[in-house]
Amino acid sequence: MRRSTIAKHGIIHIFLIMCCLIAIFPIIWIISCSFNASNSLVTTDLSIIPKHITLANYKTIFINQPFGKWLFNSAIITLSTTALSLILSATSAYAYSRMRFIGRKSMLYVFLLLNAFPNILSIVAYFRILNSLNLLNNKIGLIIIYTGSQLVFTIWNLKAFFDTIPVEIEEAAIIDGVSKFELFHKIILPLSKPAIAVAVLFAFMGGWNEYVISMTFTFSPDKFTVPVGLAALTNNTNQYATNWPLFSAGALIVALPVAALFLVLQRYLISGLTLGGVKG
Amino acid sequence: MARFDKLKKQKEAYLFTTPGNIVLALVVVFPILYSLYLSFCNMNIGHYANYSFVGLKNYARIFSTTDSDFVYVLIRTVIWTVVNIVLIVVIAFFLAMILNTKNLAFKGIYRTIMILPWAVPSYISALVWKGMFNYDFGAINKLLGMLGIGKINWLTDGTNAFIACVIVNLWMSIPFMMIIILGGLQSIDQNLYEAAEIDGANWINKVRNVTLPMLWPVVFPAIVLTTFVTFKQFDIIYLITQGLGGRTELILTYAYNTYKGFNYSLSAAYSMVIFLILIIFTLINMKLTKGGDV
Repeated sequence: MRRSTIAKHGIIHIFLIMCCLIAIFPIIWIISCSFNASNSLVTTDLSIIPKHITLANYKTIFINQPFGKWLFNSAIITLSTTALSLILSATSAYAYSRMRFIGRKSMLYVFLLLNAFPNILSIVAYFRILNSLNLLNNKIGLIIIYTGSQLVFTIWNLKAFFDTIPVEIEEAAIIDGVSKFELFHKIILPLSKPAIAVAVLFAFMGGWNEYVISMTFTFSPDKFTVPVGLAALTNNTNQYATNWPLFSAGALIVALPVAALFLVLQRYLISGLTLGGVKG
Repeated sequence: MARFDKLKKQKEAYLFTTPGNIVLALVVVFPILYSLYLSFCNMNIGHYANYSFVGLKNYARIFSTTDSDFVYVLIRTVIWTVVNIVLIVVIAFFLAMILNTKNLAFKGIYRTIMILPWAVPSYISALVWKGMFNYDFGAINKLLGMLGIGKINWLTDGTNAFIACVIVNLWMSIPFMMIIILGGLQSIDQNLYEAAEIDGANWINKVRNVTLPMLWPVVFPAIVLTTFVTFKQFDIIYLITQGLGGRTELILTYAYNTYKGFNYSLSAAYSMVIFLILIIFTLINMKLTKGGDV
């Protein structure tokens, strides 16, 4: 390599290392916080390695806080949302892709517009609906709202993928006397694994990371989902005193698997986001 | 016979779409219509059960600058969106260009570390940054102290809190834009650059005449997507500042805090105005990209 190239690369490496530090500093900060024996925010120096390393925070959050309950609630809600939205959107998307019926086109346009509506804006209506169905402070209410909020996006995504599967495959199967349902279930779904992976991923993230709706409609700590419980740990205005080490331990427990999943599946995520973005 | 077939097919299609449509009607369509209805009423804590029709009163209130902060919040949201998008795209482009340097060692490692912020759930990032911006014990003020700069009251002053939220949003949003641009850069045919060099193009010419035009089709959808996400930002503002009594509010937190203040009908009217703005954006985007071909 020429000397000027080496010098140029040296500067680039220094610059990129600085960027990496900025990118991971908050992550290192909570890792350090979670292993800290004292409430680390109370120290005045900027030491990243805590003076007294302990695993106690990881134990305390399960014993002194209903963290296990929060994990359980989030798991039930997320799994139900993912399963429901996948079943409902796969059948709908199949019809929109393969069948021609009255109202098809206008429905697809309506979906595009509905997709623009953030569900936070429905909060007044959600409150009235859940209240009248007696579903406030209840997992089922959240599952219904999350499923509905995912549907438009997943239907569009799956429909776009189904459109790319050649119709000839189905025509051949129909000649062989396969029923419409078998066709969908035995031929289309297995061929659509990548698109289904994207739909599952988005529905899963949507449920696991959702914060506003569950914060608004759950009132007792044993009904909280993980995000609501963790946010409560950083608040000193309610019954929980601000407890950063406990929050950090909990945040790492839930964020690590999700972050790992994200990194492994990033290719799918990007395709899902851009597909949803470009074609609607 | 053909007609009978067609009818049967229609029936099948409705069978496939109805279950999804029922949930959509309940969770998406009904709430919008109900909010539209409420926006013409006076439902609030004083009139929860016995609310009545008040016509356009809520809308008049929204657009009068003396009775409501909505117009200011909307302007702030537009500023927030423009500032963020410009910085995200410029910084991400710069980082992607650097990461795309020929024969650079450890490229993959840098790339993986730099996209980590994207992988962390956004509510966790927001809460962690809230801790880092803490006046007395937060890492940012400690760092500033070490550099000999005094402490900054990040979360109690309106302007500082707004800047803090911009910093957090940049930290969270740059990685996605960076990978999209990097992917675009890597797919550009190297022969184009060689051809440009033969024509005597310098670095700036190459960026302007080869890189940017080739990137645009890939990057434009990502910019649109990020613009929507930024305009609709809630988590960062709400979790870090709670809106700071109106001083850092964006439209979504504003509508939410109005609901929390028991002004149900007013909040519903805000929702309708915001929805209208978002629909206009969506239609413009559909025209521009010729997307939404069904």
